[in-house]
Parts: sequence; structure tokens; C-alpha cells
Amino acid sequence: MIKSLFILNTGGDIVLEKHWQGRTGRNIITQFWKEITKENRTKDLPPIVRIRRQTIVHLRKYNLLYLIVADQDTSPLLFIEFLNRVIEVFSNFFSTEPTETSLKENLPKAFELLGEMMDNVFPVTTETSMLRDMIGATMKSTPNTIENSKKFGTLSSDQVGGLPWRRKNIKHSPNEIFFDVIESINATIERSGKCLSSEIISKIVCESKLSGMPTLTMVFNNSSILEDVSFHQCINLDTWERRKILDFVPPDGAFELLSYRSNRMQTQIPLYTSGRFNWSKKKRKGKFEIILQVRNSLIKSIDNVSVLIPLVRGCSSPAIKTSNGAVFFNDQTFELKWEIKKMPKNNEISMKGSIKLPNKGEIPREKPVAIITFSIEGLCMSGLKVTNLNISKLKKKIFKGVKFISKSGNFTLKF
Amino acid sequence: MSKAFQKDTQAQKNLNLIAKLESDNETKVFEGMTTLVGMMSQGYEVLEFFPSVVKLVASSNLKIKKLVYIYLDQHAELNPDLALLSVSTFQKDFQNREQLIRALSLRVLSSIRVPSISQIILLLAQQAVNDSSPYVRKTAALAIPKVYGLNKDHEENLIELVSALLKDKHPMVIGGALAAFNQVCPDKFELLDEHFRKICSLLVDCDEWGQIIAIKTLLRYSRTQFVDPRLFDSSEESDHMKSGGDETNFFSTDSEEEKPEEAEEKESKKPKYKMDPDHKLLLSSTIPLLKSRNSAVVAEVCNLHFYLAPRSELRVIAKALIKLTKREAPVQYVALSTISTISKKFPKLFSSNYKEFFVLQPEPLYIKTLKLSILTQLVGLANVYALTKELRAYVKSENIQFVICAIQSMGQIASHMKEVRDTCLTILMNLISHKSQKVAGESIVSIKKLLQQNVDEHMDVMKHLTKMIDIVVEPSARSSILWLVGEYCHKIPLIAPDVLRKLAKTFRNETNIVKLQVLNLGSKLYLRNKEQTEKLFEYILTLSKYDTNYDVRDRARFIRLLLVNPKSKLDKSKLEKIFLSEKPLPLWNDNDETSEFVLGTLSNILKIRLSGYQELPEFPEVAPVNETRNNSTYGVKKNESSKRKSKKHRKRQRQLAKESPFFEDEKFWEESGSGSGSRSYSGSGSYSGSGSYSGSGSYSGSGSGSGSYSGSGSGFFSGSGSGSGSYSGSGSYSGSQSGSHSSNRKNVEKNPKSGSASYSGSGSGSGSYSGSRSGSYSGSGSYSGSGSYSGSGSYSGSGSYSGSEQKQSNQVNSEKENSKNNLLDLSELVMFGSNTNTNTNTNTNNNSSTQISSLNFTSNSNYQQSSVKVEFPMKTLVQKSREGGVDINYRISRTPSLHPGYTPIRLYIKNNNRNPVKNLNIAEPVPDNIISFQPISNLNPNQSYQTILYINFNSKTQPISFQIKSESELTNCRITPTTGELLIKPLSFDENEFDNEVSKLSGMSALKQQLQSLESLKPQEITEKIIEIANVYQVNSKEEKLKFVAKTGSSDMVYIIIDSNTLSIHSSNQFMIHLISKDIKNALKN
Repeated sequence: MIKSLFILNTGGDIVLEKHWQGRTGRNIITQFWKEITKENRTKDLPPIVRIRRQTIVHLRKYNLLYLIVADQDTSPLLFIEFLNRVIEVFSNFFSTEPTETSLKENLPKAFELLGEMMDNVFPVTTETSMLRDMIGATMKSTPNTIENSKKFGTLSSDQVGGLPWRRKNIKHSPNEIFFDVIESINATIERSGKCLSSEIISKIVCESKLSGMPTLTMVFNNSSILEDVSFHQCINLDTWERRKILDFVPPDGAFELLSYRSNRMQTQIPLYTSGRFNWSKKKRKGKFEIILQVRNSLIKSIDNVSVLIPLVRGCSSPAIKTSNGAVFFNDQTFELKWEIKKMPKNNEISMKGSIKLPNKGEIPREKPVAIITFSIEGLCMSGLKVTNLNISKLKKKIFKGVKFISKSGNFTLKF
Repeated sequence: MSKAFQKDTQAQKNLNLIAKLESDNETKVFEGMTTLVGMMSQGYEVLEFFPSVVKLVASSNLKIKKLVYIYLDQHAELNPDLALLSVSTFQKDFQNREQLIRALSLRVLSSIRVPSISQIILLLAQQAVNDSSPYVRKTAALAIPKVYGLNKDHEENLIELVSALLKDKHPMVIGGALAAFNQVCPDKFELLDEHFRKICSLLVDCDEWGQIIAIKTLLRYSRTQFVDPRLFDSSEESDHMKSGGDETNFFSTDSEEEKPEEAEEKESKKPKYKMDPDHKLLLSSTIPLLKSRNSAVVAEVCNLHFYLAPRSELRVIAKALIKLTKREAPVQYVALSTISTISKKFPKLFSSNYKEFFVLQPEPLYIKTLKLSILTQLVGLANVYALTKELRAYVKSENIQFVICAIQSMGQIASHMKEVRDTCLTILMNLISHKSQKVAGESIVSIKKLLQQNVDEHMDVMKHLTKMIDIVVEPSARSSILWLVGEYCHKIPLIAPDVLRKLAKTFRNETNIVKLQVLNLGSKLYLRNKEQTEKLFEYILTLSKYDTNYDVRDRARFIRLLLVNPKSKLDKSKLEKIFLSEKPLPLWNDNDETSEFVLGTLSNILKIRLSGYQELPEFPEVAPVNETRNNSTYGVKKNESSKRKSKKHRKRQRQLAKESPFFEDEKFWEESGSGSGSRSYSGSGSYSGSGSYSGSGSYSGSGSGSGSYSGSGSGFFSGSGSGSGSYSGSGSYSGSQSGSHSSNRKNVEKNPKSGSASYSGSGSGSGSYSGSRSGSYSGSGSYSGSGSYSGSGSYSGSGSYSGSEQKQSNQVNSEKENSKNNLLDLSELVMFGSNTNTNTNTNTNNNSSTQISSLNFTSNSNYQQSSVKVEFPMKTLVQKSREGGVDINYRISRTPSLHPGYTPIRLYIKNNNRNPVKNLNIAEPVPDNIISFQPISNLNPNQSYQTILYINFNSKTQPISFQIKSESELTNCRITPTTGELLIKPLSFDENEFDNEVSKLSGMSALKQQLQSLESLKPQEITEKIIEIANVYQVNSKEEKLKFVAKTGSSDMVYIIIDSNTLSIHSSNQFMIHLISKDIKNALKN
């Protein structure tokens, strides 16, 4: 089970350490750091490694490296999910992303949180709202509150009962709740423009500012889209199984309500892409061309399109012509980036050009790929719609809204 | 200089901090504590502040108190003496009105790892279990493993607590209770029986971490309770699974290949199988959890289904696992490892989704290689072309490591699928000129393996390769080609000499490994085709003779002497044996870890056995009848309540709490009572004969706790279980056991709540019994010594002995070993039997039809007549299995001692370590009152061993301490005897003499007491209980009294009489009277 947690910065220095069962020496961290910096393995070191007869599970987020040292065998995903929760709770409590700076500012709080989240070796309270009640007040260190704090957090019976994700007596004015349906399109496109594989990975995130204990029901036009779905704890599984509607008491603030995966797309992928890339042996050059076009069927506009081509080390002197947008070449990372702020409708745009290979060395066998990013507001690729959203137990006027965004996920063009 | 200065300022800072901490101003104190906690989080050494901090624990300011708790939590064990000062504050806080504070105080107190306070924590935990707040109860549950870690002596109390917590109906508590169960008594599955259905239905409402624990536990539990559903998969279905889509899988494992052979057998079994409703319940109630956002929960559900669900229902988990592979890299990594393990067994499950495992360029290497290995497993006719196309793209990657993996996969696929073999060979051939040596080498190796499989079909490849020798420069590739040419030179008789000719020209410029291969090729050609190559070879040998490298010179000399030297005495056939021997076909390394680890463990990911790794129990061959679970009414209740729930599901907890206790039904009690009556007859019959003990072996196999056996044990049981019909006695035995349970229940029915508690207590008793049984079986080798005990006739139950003989003669097919074990078992059982018993026994065994009447006879006669078998609880001496060490259990043996005055203690030693333990012995100096056992020179992993230790307790109940050492460690041990164990049982005693002696002892030497608790017990049970606690002899009495006698260490006799509800004890040793009466009263109370 989990013995210790270390958080390192990008330089390998320990920012925070927490031990639940005895103390783990720092040697293991030194050893680990050697391992991860060896031959630039930062990316390729598996998330679970064995060092000095201990198991280390690590993951990186916001430029911090979270390390769990474990001595007993248990579910590997338990460690990973626990770390995810730690990061989630941190960002809720720091009201900003847990970066090195924000973590250092909040060290005592972070330490106390970690103490509450795990008892002995067993994760216990990982819900932000419940944690807020347990320690939220403790850390406000203005003298006035100190003198009078003979009381500290209380747990409402509902939280202990069945709703650990929501506190009692929440008050908001105005009362509002907004949902964002964010669909990411993963696709691999051949150079001819043919789609090799595609899928939609989507999530519904929610920003809730409602008073009291409201119960929400949400009905979709086509629940079969949500066949492969993961729910937030607050969603009543019984009701979903029986009636295919969502029934839940939302947590307060921002949270991810559900996520789903679907292979079915209602429309074509809205952005047509094709292109080619060749390494020329004689000239020691790479020649390429990329074409983008908005599909006619799309009514909405596509914004912030970018095409990124990671090239071989040592490439230089790009010579490029484009019909629209701007091209940048980063000579540190050897990445070529084409950015288009606004896609024109009805006509295709293209980028054409060449890049020099270094004078020595082999001609690469592998062609690069183009990673394409874009986002379309107001479009839902899967065709999911919210047909009804009911909020009970709340008499006041409520602002509610659902917004759809489709964007690229892992969207690559293979030359 | 500057360093010294820094130190100074640090010291100054510390002084300032101490001043703050000891200030009267709460704000300052708070500031100080915050700084301190901040320092702790950065790993600073803050032990020096301990005295200042510990004073603050009594602070009335809760915010400060909380920070103090955090400090103590981490540092108390480093300064136990000072930490003890804070204990009273914790105890006070535990009475606080606020549930958070109660929980916090318990949690922090239990986190202080100071063994001396384990008793206090235990007391608090016992209170907390009945707390009104589920949060506090959960904290109590989590405190249990901590107490267990501090002090193993509390095990029994802790198990009681666990079983009390398991009764809790709050989903929050269940997770904690099961976590405690897993830590304290992971194999006492009988505790779960009555809660199984409840846990299933509460699963959805548990918090995510609780769900993980619960699923893990239920999986292990179910593996002991239900039969393997896949054994009964209809053959049609399995055919369908295999041939579905006609993409016959070439990597199917043995288990699948066995299928057709067993099909017939299964066909006959097929109609019999109906899935246990509880089995179904578990499977269906975990399915909704696949929708959890917590990937660990999803993965655990998948594991559960992988191990428990019928094959046809596995699609669900395939889908869920594929979805996990879309998450961030670490989750993806674990999900892919899981899929890799599953697809090894059921490739068909994922083969339609093979596209999901196509490698994307930006992915990290560990994901790519996993995906490759999965793709290789999924290959079939339907997807082989698409896969080859993908692989063709992969081998172009810039990542050498990945290319090598891709080449290996390609080789494997090509070797199994002849459709793509040519394509693959072409791709591989192109790679020979790859800039990376490793890639080129790897591709040649793959080509070599492919060619060796079927060289005749691929002569064109062979020829092409020989042409490559002009182009390829990479030495390892060149040498591999040369090896191939040499190996198959007889198949290309025209080309091979030409290759040698070319190489002779360039010989001087070749690298050493190529030169060696040229020599190798030359010698093979010389043997096969002497005419054409003799001169060439001579030339090459001469060149080598003057080579700069002495390996080459050496080889050349060696070959010359063997082959060319006319004096060589070896004839050609021998030379051919040396140079042209047939090479075995290469093996594709399928990465087949022979020892597959259970899914959902770190061990499975890392492919190393880690400490704390638990094997899954094997399915039983026959599902044990589990009345407790079947009688638990939860399922029904739940349905009712779920209707209510649908209306107001938010209030589900309160509703659950309102639900009536499980066994409220009066009728239920009556029924089970009458049922047990008839059973107990046959039960007592089987008690009397030791034949029934062999039966009882199989009983425990089919009983509740088969999971607790080590592998060998259960194997033996199942063997004996299927032995013959004469074993039917076993069933009746278990019947009687449950009969006594139910009568227990009846006793306490006035108080239903505590009733179920004591019920489960007795359940656990049977558990430890079977446990001990398995112990004695596994160590049967060391038992030959103890066999002599039974031979000496010390077992007054001579009847029992003969009984076992008769059993043997009845049983035609009885194995010798089996009967031996029966005898050996006697050494652990106390037998009380008279001649009449032997008679009934004979009847029972000889003629089963008269069984019932003879049994009736037994039950009509005096209770004492029936023999009583008592299990002595096994106690733990050393338990290190969690850290992977040696477990030692002991039991005070009641066999006559070889050393007068010394009590024999039977030790059960098991090595749970991964390494052998050497030279296990009592550490020097051995105390005077101990006679040690023979040192154990070597104990292999998982090996068990039994031995006997003699201790002279000197008639005192004081604990005896000693140390057990092995080569690697030293452990402190303590054995505390109970009063009853210090007694010595006479071999026989006459009733007249008994009455005579008792009449002499009166006044101070006698004690008479009324015991209310006696009324509710049957004499049989009283006897059992008394014999359990004390080593006494039961005197055959003509009256309706129970009479027991024993001798103390100082040769005083102790006489015990129980007459209806009066307990009287007579002895000249008044102190002993006092002690014994206390023990007896305690024993009979429960």
C-alpha cells in the first residue's frame, strides 16, 4: 500500500514529502531521478517502476512530478487514481493549478489535506466538499478567527449519509448551472484524405452554483450515444439503468459530470485534410504540401486551426508558401507550425514548401506526421442533445445552459 | 565559516520557533505550528520541538490541536515516552460531541506506533464500533489493522470487531470493515457468509475506495464458494468462441487447447450446472460500477469478471478496458497490461477491436511495446494483412527500441501465418541494411528463425540473402548471412562456393566475427563439397594463420587439425557430427511468464512477486453448501426497500438503518432448531469413530473455509473427498456442526442482536479448526514421531483407534497415507470414549442401515458416553508473512510429555518468504525452562514444518519469553499458558475413587457456585467447553453429573463436578480452585 508521497519539481528537488507509514529515505528519490534522467527517458520511463526493492508510481502534471512509494502489493490503478484525486483536490483548494509556486505557498494546507485523504494506507476522504468541511476553516490564519475558533468543521449528516460530494447550506445568488459538452475527435487521416480510424471521446463538465440541495434530472435525445460512459459519483446509477435519464445532486463548483466514448459520428469530420511529404535523397531536403478545407455541410465556423509537424533533429531553412495563416519554425524543438485564425468557407487553403536536412547523416526512413488541432463551437459530432433539464427543490429563478464544443483530440495526418 | 554562520541562523530560527510555540498568545502558537507543519512537509528534522508541541495537545483551540495532531501522527513513534503524555487527551477528545473530533482523535491515536498503547486503542476502537456516526465507525475499522500491526496478541478481539463492523449497513463503513478484514483475517471467509448479499447490494453506494476493497475481497471469497462457470461452458459455445470469424488464433493457450478433449466430459456435466444465484448476484451488481469514473474501480470489476464470469459474458469488460486505454498514459499503461494478460487467454475477446491497439507516433515507448505485444496476440486471418501493413510502418520509426520490438512481432506473426510470410520476409530483408546494428541484427535473427522453420519454401529468400553479401556492411548482419549460407550450403550447391570465393577475396578486410564465420562456412563446405572448395579453404586457413587476432588464428588451427590434417584420426561421419549437426528449431520468445500473476496487482505489471501479493484461491470442485449465506434474508429485504428507494433514493441510508435485523423471524429459529436435532444424532455417531475423522477431512474441504488451505492441503482433501461412499459420514459430521451452531443461536435468541454475534463467533471457531487440520496434513512427514503417541495408548479413546481400523478395512480403496493421517490427527484431538462407544462405532461402520438406531442409542444413554472432540485454538507466535517472513503458530499440545514437568508445545512453522530460511532455532542462551527443538537447517519457501518445544511453566501462568533466530533475523516470542493448560490429565480415573476424594475435600478446599448460564447449555456443550479450556479427564459417571479430574504441576488433584446448574470444584490447592473457577465461568458464559 501507499507508504510515502513525494512531489518533485522539474529540477528533481523535493517540494513536499508526506509519509504515512514510517519514513522513507530520500535516497530512493535520488536513485529515481537518476533513472528518469538517464538517456532522456523522461517520456519513456514506465509509470510504475521498481527501485531499491520498492515500487514507485509516478505521474507528471503541471510541471510537478508526483511519486508514490509503495511497499505492499495492491491495485496499480488505485495509486494512479489517488494521485489524480490529490491533484484535483489541490487545484480546488489552491483555487489555481497546483504548480510549484502555488504548492510552495500552500505547503501546510497541502500537508494537512494529504493527512486527511489517507488513513494509514487506505484512501479515505477524497471529496473536495467534505475536505473543505474538515479543514477548510483551519487554515485561515487571520488572528481574529484564531482567537474565536473553539469550533471547527462539522460534517453534515447528508455528507456522511450518502452525498459526500455536497455540503449543506450552500447559498448562491444568482442561482446558475452551466454544462459544457466537449467532444474530442480522435482520428487518423491518410495522405489522400481518407479517414483510417476515428472516434469521439467526450465529457460533460459542469459549473454549478446552486443553493441548497437541488435534484437535477437531465434527459437526452438519444441515450444510446452514451453506451460507453463513466459517471461522476453523484449520478444515480439505478435511474440510469432503468430509465436512461440522469438523476443527480450536483457537487458545488466545477466538476466533470460524465465522459463517454463513441464510434458513431453523425456528420463527416468537418475539416478535410490531405497532404504529402517526401524526403529527397539527392537534395537532402523534405518537400511537403498540406491542404485543408471546411466541409460544405458545416454551418458553424472553425476557429484556431493549427498544423504541427515535428521534424527530425537538425532540420533548417524552411522555404514555405501558404495561402492563409502564418508559419513558424522552432529551431530548438524542430517543429513546424502553421496557424490559421479563421478558416475561410468554400475554398481550400494550402501550405507548400521544403525544409533542409542536416548535411550529414542518414536520410530518415520515417515520414513525419501532421498533428492538427481545431475547435468548433456549437457543434456536436455525436448528435447528442439535452432535451430536458429539470431542477427540483429550488423555488428561485435559475439560469441554466448547455454549450457544445467539438474539437480535435488526437487528430493526425499520416503522409 | 559561512556554513557555521548558516547553522547559527538556523539554530536561532529554531529558538524563535520554540518561543512562539510556548507563547501564551494563541495566534503566535498557531503561526508557530503552521511553520512547523510547513517544515515537516519539506522533510526537515523537527524532532527537537517535540516537548514544546506535546504540551499543546491539551489546547482548547481546535485549529492548533489539529496541527498538533498532524505533528504527533508523524513523530510520536520516535519519542514514545513523551508521546504517552498525550494519550489521555486523545481519550478525552474521543468523548467529544462532534463526530469529526471523535474520529480524528481515534485516527491520530491509532497512528501512533507505540506498542504499549495498543490496548488503549483497542478499547477506543471497541467503543467506536458502536458509535452513532458512520464516519467514526469507519475510522474504527481503519484503526483495526493498525492495532494488529502493533500487537498481534489482540487478534481475537480484533476479529470480533471486524465481524461486528461487517454487520454495519452503512456503505461508508463496509469499505473500511473489509479493509480491516483483509489485513487481519483475510482467509476467514466464513465471516462474510451472512453479509455477502448485503455487500453486493451496497456496493454501488460505497465510496470508490471502498468499492475497490470490496470487489477484491468478494472475488477471493467467491473463488472459494462457487464452482468455475467456465468448466460448464457448452462445447458449442466454446467452439463459437474459438472459431468465431474463422480467425483461428494461433496463440491460444493450453487451457483452450485442452477444451476439445474435455468436451465430451463436459457435455455430460453440462445439464447439471446452474449458476448459484449469489454468484449471479455478484456479477450483476458489479456491472454498473463499470461506469465509475475511477479507473481503479473499473479495472477491479473487469478483474472480477475475468476470474468469475462465464466466458460468454466477458464482452462487457473488453469494452470497459478499451475505454480505459483512452485515458492518460499511466492509466492506459495499466489497462493495456491487463488486456495483454487477458488476451493471452481469450484472444478472441479483443480481436475485433484490433484497430484500437494501433500505435500512434507520439506515444511513449512503454505504451507502444505493450500495444505491439497485444497486436501480436490478436493476429488472425481477418486482420493479418492490416496488421502487417501497420508493422511495415512501425519498422520505419526512428525509435530503435520500438523498431526492434516491431521486428520481433513481425517475425512471430510471419511464423504463424504463412499468408504473410513472404511479405514479412521482404520487409525484414530490407531492414538488413538499416543504419542501426541492432535493427539489422534483429531482422537477420528473425529471418534466420523463419528460414529454419521451412527453408525449402524460401530458397529465393536464401538466394537473395547471398546476393546481399555484396551490399551489406554491418558485420553482425554479414556474419549472420554467412552462417545461413553455411548451414544450408547443400541446398544452394552452386552459390555457396561462390560466396566463399568472394569472401576469400575480401578476407583480409573483414572484421573478426565475419572472419570466424568465413572459417565456419569454409569448414562446412569442405565437408560437403571438397572438390570445389579445398583450395579456397586452404587459402583462407593460411590467411588466418597469420591474422592479427588470435581468436581467428586459434580457430584456424583447430579446424586445420581436425579437418585438413592427414593425421586426423576422426572419420568423416564423426566430423559431420561435429560440423554439420542438426540445429534445433528456434523458439519464439512469447514472453510467456510461466507464472502469471493475478490481475490488478503491481506484481502483474512488474512481473515480480511483491510482498503482500495474494494468490487467488482455486475454484472448489464442488460448491460448498453455505447455509448462512442462503439464510441471510438481505436479498429479499433489499428488493422491498429498493422500491422505496426509487422514490426517495437520497434517503437510502436512513432506510437501511431502519431495516429490521436479519434474524427477527421466530419461525426461522424453530425450524433450524428441529432440523439440527435430527442431524446431531448422526453427528455424534461419527464423532465416536476416528473413521469419521478422515471424513472430517473431507468435511472441511467441503465446508466453509476451504480457501484457507494451502494448495497441497486442499489437493489432498479433494482427493479423499472423492474416495468412496463410506465418506458419507462426513456430511453428517458437518450437519452436526451446524446443528450445534443453530442451537447456539437458539440460546441467544432472546437478544437477536448479540445473537448473531455469538453465532459468527462459533463459526470462526470451526474455521480455526480446519486451519489447524491443514497444518497437520501438510507436515505429515514430521509426524512419524507423534505417531508413537497414539501407539502408546495414551488416548483413552482406545475405541477410537479400533474404529479407525475398522474404517480402514471397510474402505477398500483407502489410501495408506490417508489412514496414516487419520491416526496422526488423533494426537491433536482429545478423545473420550468408553467401550460402549466402540460398539456403536462398530455398528455405524459395519452397517449403515443400523446407523440411526445405534445413534439413537447413543443419544439416549448418558451424555458423557459420547466422545467429545475439541479443537484447541491455534495461537500465533510469530507472524511475518506480510513482510514475507516466517509464520509460527503454536498450540499447547496435550500429549504426554517426554520430559517430566515440561509442557509440550507444538509449533507450526511456515515459510512465507521468497527465500529459504536457514538455521531456524531458539536463540542462545536458551532459558533453563525450555528444551529446544532440533534446529531447522533449511526451510524452503512455502514449506511448512512442525516441531515440538518443551517448556516448564512451573505451574505459573506467567509468560515465558525467548527468541527465535534464523540466519537472517531474530524475533522475540512469548508464550503464555492458561491455567487449564497447566493441568495434567490422568490416563484414567474411577468414579468411586472420585467420589471418595471429593468427599474428603470440603470447606476451604471446595467451592460451590450456581451458574445461570449452565441452564441453556447441553451437557455435551459444557463438556466441550471445559475440555477446551482445561486439560482434564472426564470421569465416566453413572449419575447425571459431569465429572472431571486433573492433576496440577505440584501433584494436587483438582475435581470438578457440574450438576444441572451448579459448579463445584474441589482441590487441596485453593489458589487453583480460584483460577479454574474463573476460567470455567468465562468459558461457559459465552
